[in-house]
Formats: sequence, C-alpha cells, structure tokens
Amino acid sequence: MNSFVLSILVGSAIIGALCAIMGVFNLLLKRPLIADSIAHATLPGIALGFLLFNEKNILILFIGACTTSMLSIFYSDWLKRKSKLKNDSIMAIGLSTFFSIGLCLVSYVQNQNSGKQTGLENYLFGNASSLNIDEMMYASIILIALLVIFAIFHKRFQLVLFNIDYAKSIGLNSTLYLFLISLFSVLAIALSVKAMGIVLASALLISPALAMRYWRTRFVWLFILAGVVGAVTASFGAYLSYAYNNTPTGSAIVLSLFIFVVFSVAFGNSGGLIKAFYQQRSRRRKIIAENVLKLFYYSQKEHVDGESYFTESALLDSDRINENDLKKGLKILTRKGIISFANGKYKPSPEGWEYTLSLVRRHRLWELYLTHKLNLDAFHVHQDAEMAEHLITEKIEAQLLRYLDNPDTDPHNQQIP
Amino acid sequence: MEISILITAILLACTCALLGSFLIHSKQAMMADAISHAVLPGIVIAYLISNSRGSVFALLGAAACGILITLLVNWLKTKAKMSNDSAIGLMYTSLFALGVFLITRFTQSVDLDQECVLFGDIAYVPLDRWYVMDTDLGPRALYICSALLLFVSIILRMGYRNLSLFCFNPEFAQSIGISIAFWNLYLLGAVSITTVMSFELVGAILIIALLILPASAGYLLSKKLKTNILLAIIFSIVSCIVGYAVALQFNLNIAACVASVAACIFFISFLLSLRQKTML
Repeated sequence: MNSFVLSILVGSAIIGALCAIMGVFNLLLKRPLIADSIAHATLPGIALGFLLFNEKNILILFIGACTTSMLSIFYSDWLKRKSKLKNDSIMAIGLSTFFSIGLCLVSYVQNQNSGKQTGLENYLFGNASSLNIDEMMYASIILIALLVIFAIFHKRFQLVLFNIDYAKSIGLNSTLYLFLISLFSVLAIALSVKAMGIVLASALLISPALAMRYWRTRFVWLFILAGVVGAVTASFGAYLSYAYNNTPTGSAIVLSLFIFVVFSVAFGNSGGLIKAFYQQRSRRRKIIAENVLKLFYYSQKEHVDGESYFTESALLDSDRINENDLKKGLKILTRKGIISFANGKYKPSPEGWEYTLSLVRRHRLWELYLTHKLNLDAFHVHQDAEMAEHLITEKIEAQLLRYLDNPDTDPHNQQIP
Repeated sequence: MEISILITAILLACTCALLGSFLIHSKQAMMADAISHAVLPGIVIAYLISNSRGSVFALLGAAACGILITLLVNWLKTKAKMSNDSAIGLMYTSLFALGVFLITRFTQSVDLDQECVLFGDIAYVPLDRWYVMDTDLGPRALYICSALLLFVSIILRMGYRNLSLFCFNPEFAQSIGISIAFWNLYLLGAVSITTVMSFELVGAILIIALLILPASAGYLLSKKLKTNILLAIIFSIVSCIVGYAVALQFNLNIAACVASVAACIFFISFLLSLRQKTML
C-alpha cells in the first residue's frame, strides 16, 4: 500500500467521521432525509462552478456546492412556512427541483466539452481516489472546527436537540444552533459527494447515526461512536474500491454501512430485536407462570377441605387456563422451585404460597382501586386487573394499600388475602 | 425534431401526474422517491437474467423490488421501531448501492450503464422500433407508455373511492373496514411499475420530479382532488412541451429540461398561492 492510497483512506475517514457526526444531529432533529435533499442540491452548484470558471478549481466547486445546498434548505423552509404542503412533499420538491436543474447544467457542460473528461462524473457516482489533498485539508479544518464548537457548546446543543421549546424559553438563540447544524451538514455533504456520489452521500449521514440508536450510550458518546463508525466504514469502503477494481466507492461504503446497521438492529442493547425478543419471551413466561400459580389459590378455595395438593387435571378442571399454558407454567414453576411435585400432585412451597397470595391481593386491590377511586363499575374491572396484577410491583402494592386504607374485601365481596 | 419523443414524454408525465396527486395527499412523496431508487437492483438483475432490455416480464419482476422496499420499510417501522424517514433513508440508499454495484461488476456486456440510471435516454426513443412480422409499427416506447397510462388510469379509477378515503382520512377509512395496508401497497405498487417501465426513458431521479412537481403545483392551487389531478395533468403536459423545446434549442438533456420546467411551474404556482390562498 503506497502513500497515495494511505492518504485516500485517511481522507475518506475524516469525511466519514464528519458526515456521521452531522448525521446524529439530523437524526435527533428527526429529519434524517434532509441529508438526501442537501446532497442532491449540490449538483447545480458544482456544475455552475465548473461552467462559470471552466476549470476544476476545488475551492470554487466546493463553494458552489455549499451555496446551492444552503439555497435548497432556505427554499424548503420557505415552502414549509408559506404553503400547505406536507413535509415529505417539500423534501421531494426541494431535491428534484435542484437536481433536475443540476442535470440540465451538467448536460450543457458535457456538450460544451464534448469528448473531454470533465470530472463531473465523479460527483454523480463517487470515486474516493479522486479526492485530492486540498479537499482533505478542508475536511480536517471543518472537522476540527465542528469538534471545537461542539466541545464548548455541547450542553446548549443538547438542549436544542431534545427540547427546543425549553431552549427558546430560557433565551437560547435556537435559530443560530439550528443554522450551525444545517451549515455543517452542508459542508460535510459537499465534501463527501465526490467520494460517495450524490445519490448515495446521504447514507453516510443516516446510517451510522441510525445504527448508534440501537446502542445505549451517553449523549456525547453517541457522536463520538457514530464518528468512529463513519470513519471506519468510509475508509474500509474506499479500500474495497481500491482493492477490487470496478467497485464504486459509494456502493462499497453504503453496503458496509448497511451490514453494520443490520448488525445493530439485531444485537443492539437498546431496542435490538434479539434482546427485545428475549424480553418479550420472559415477560410472557412470567405471566403464564403467575396465572398457573393463581390456580392453586382458586382451587384451594373451591375445595371444602382446604387441600393444597393438586393434580394437573384438577387444575385444568377450573377452566381458567388452556392445557398448553398449564403445562408450560407448571414446568417453569417447578424448575424455579416455587412449586414442588410429588405423587402426581403439585404443591406450592411456603414462599410460593406467599407469592400466590400477593398476586391475588394485587388483583383485588386493583379492582378496588378502579371501582372506588376511578368509579368504574365492578362488573368491568376483572379483565383490567387480570393484566395489572402482573405489572404491579411491591412498591405500588404498598401505595395501593395505604391509599385504600388497608381494605378487607374487594368489589365482589371477596376477601383480600 | 421527432414528435414521438414528445408524445412519449407526455404520456409518461401524465401517468406520473395521476399517481403523484395521490402520493402527495397520502404523504408518500419520499416513499415514491425511495421506490424510484430501489427498483435499480431489480432492473439490473432482470437485465442480467433476460440479457436484454425491455422484456416485460423481467421488468415486472423488477417492480417487485419496489414492493419489497415498501414492505421492508414497514417491517423496520413496526418491528425495529425505526422512524419512517430513517427506514426510507437506510433502505433506498442500500438498494441503490446494490444496484450500482451490480451494474459495475457484472454488466459489461449489457447496454446499461450508470449514466443511463441517472439521465435515461429518451432521445433514443425513435430508434428502438417495434416490428411485428417485419412491419414497422413505430417506436416501442410509445406503445409501452400508452399501455402504462391506460393501466394506471384503470387502476386509479377502480380504486378511486377507497384511495381518496385512504389519502384524506386514513382513520375513518380504517374504521369502515378499508385496509390501509392494502391500499398503500396498491398505490405504491402502481408507482413501482411505472418507475420500472419508465426507468430507461427518464432515469431514476427524474421520475420523482415528474411524480411530485406537477402534482404539488396542482395541490397548491386546488381544493379538490379532481381539480388537483386535472391541474397536475395540464402542468405536466406544458412542462413536456416547453421542456422539449428548450432542450432542442440549447441541445440539453430532454428529461432534465422537462423536470426543470416542471420545477419552474411549481415555483410559479407557489407564488400564485401566496397571493391568493386557493384559486379553484
């Protein structure tokens, strides 16, 4: 690997980090697709810069790209304030307007320079190896400026991002912060389009931020980690497109980002699917087990002799549960030692019996609460209590007891154990 | 000057205007944008399999890709609790990247390149002719676009009542037993078929301009869905004629000019709507 390739990788990493950090801002502002709009709007600026100065002066093209992108943001804001159009229509209007004007200009440029390579194709489809040292320098300067501003004002940014109304009410100039976010997003995207291509540039903002949403982190770490993810995937993608000829950089980066997002959605510890699946399963199992446990209470009450040993079929006879759930519940309870099994009969342990009583108590307290405090009819409260009994914690139970003055009977005149 | 190009463009723009009017009312503009990108891998795979352009069945397979992104976005929204915009942003960039990747890796022999993806080549419409028993029946695209317009009109006419309910008051529609999910797929399915069919004519991104801009211009100047649709069709026909003329005059890309004129018409109608809240 020579120094040229190394510089491309470093450049891609800087741009990737910059974009990913700005992506977190936009995701928290609930407008991730603005990146798409901005990226498309760079095209007329680039083409115009090329047309007017007829050379590939990086700075001029960069300034052109930023100008038209900012224009598109102002245009969208204007439409948002003054028209009845919905947000997503406005977004689509902004991006298609600027992009089609851009394509007109590009086709004009290509006619003017027929036969010559203009380099504009790089902007459309992206090619990391077309990055040059100037752009990397701009990217570093912008990244440092962003980090410095963010380090100083991160508390204020946090306020604007999470509670803009409160931020306004304490006199924070929220317009300025929103403008800064838009400005840096534009700068980041205008730099990234050359490596990523206009259509795919938005992924570098959206995907890392989106992936980090599935991991539990502190506010500041969200930005740092997203930045790292952006940097790593961007230079990885750039490397792939260098190592395997004919692989466009943008695609390589976007596809590696996609894999990372899928990984995060699956394994993330905050809202990740696998964790959510296990949580849901354990909740379901807990409810089944608790329902089975209650059967012991009811069956014992129905028995005249106060028998506390029950066979499976006796429990099933109560018609409160289906056979599958009963089997599953008994298995869970036996394994946890809450009930014991002997001679074909099940019996709750002393602690298990306490637990059973507390379940029934919670059920009946909740019924009482609904009828007395919320004035619901006694006829309707059972179904609700069937669910609430699994959710009420010891603390809520104590509060209910206090609130209801340690009652003896529930609305159906049954004793509260 | 070749009249068949203009007619093809008008047919296509009318189809898009019809669909667009429903799209902007049902807040699906960005979803349509996503579909117009996401069909790319489907198209490339269809080309790779059939090894030629224009096989209708292969293209219908590609339209399934558009349906696929709709379902995936829905799945991400409900199961992974992603916001609508994030899910759209994630899926369409990824599918488009997959498409570009497939094009550059595998399609050296197929006449499908990156330029075509963005620009389309409507200028070549008169060259691709349809022969039946050695009789020249005219440009093939003309037939495709007519059939498409007819198909979309019938689809929308058949579902008009339910679709307009779904667009304007989804809660009410649901309460009287109209399936939101079904009509959503119905509309977006039509969008995805249109996108695939018109892909090689106007390119991925300009389809969205034709879908959204005339319809939004009509939306700003109308109170009723029917006037909205009518205005959208008028605007799109005007954009085609003016855009084509401009493109010929200055030797520019036709599709891009049509879209830019549509953008100008939208801007003018926005200014008009500022002066007078509603005209029709």
